[in-house]
Amino acid sequence: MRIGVLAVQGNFREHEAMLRRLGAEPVEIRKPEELAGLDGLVVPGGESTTFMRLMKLYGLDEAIRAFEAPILGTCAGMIVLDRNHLGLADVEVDRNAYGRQVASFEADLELAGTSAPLRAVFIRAPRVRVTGEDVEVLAEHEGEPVLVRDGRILVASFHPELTDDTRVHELFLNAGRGGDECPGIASGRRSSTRRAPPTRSAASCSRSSRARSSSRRRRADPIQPATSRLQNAIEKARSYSMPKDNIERAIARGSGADSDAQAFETVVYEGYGPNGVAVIVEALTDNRNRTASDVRHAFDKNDGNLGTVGRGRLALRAPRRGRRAGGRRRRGRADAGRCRRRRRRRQARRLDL
Amino acid sequence: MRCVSAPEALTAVREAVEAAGFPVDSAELTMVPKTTIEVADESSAKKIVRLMEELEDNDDVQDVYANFDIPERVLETVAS
Repeated sequence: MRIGVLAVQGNFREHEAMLRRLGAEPVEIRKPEELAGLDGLVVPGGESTTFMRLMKLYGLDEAIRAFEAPILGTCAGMIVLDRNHLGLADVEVDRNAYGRQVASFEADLELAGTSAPLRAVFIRAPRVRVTGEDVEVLAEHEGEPVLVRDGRILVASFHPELTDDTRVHELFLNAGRGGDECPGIASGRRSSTRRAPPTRSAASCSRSSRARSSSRRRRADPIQPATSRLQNAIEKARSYSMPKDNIERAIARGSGADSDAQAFETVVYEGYGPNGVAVIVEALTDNRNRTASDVRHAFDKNDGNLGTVGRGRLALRAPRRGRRAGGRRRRGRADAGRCRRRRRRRQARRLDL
Repeated sequence: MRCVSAPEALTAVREAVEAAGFPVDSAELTMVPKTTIEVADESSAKKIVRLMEELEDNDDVQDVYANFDIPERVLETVAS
């Protein structure tokens, strides 16, 4: 199999090495006519803006649009192939969305249909913001798609060429061989709940994944029997049809068993919308300031106001005894100041929680 | 079908319903309004719906509860 590797810029050599390992013959592509007769094309990572400019300069952009064999795009390659650039993959991508160079990271992903985790290296990675109807999500990181397939186009926001795991390239090569899947890699999730509407579902997934982490964190505290909270979070995740492995991973993360345990906490905002409608907002955040200002902004913009804690509950009763246990737990914590404890106790009493 | 239970009994009820052979669409803890406020006026309803949507679209937000009561008819015009 002859596979073209776009070699105008970026890390095409690693891709070539990977393809050779899998028995394909890599061909460096710098001119449009070199695309003829290839069985596939790799658009490697690099710097997407430079990439697009060089491609236009050489007339490669049109040539790639007209190219009919499978294409693998990684990192910047994903950006190049998205709706806003070449328009070959029906996804919308944000550049450098996970932060700058220093914010690069590695993560173990669950590749759809396989059991072994897929180690992924994210370097100034793009983030998939919107996926089209026919796009299959093959792997996610924290509820966001990072490996997706749109027909013959496979795009990853990470760098599969930098690890020893060959599965992503195999997936790509097998599409070129005409076989839909390669051994050990089943089809991506195609269930309708999973896919429609994709953005929503991704957001929900990450959101409920957070819910679970937080719940698990509480559970680590022996004073609170928060198993019901955990149960509730799991139930919720199920209703978003979140994969079981992701649920388990989130539980591990929340319990602090994982090193990248993040400190999420629950914050409840209460306010009034237009016409005096009482609104209670439950948020889970790693940054109270950001969330508070976002929530306040939403209220301000829509003729509402964010009240002080405890007001909205006058109109909405919370059938949640679990809150009470929360209060007790806080009181029991050694690091909480006495004033804070007293205030909370007063609040809890007033709200009859 | 909708089934409301005490918060402690959520899992037990869910299991019982499943055991009885009914598939469960969703099972969750939620807040129930003690009083509701009827909003029949279209422009206010629109604002409320927009507020709810904006809050729900926030990544940090897990749940939003409110006690408005918008008549079906008004809701339809707002949504369209």
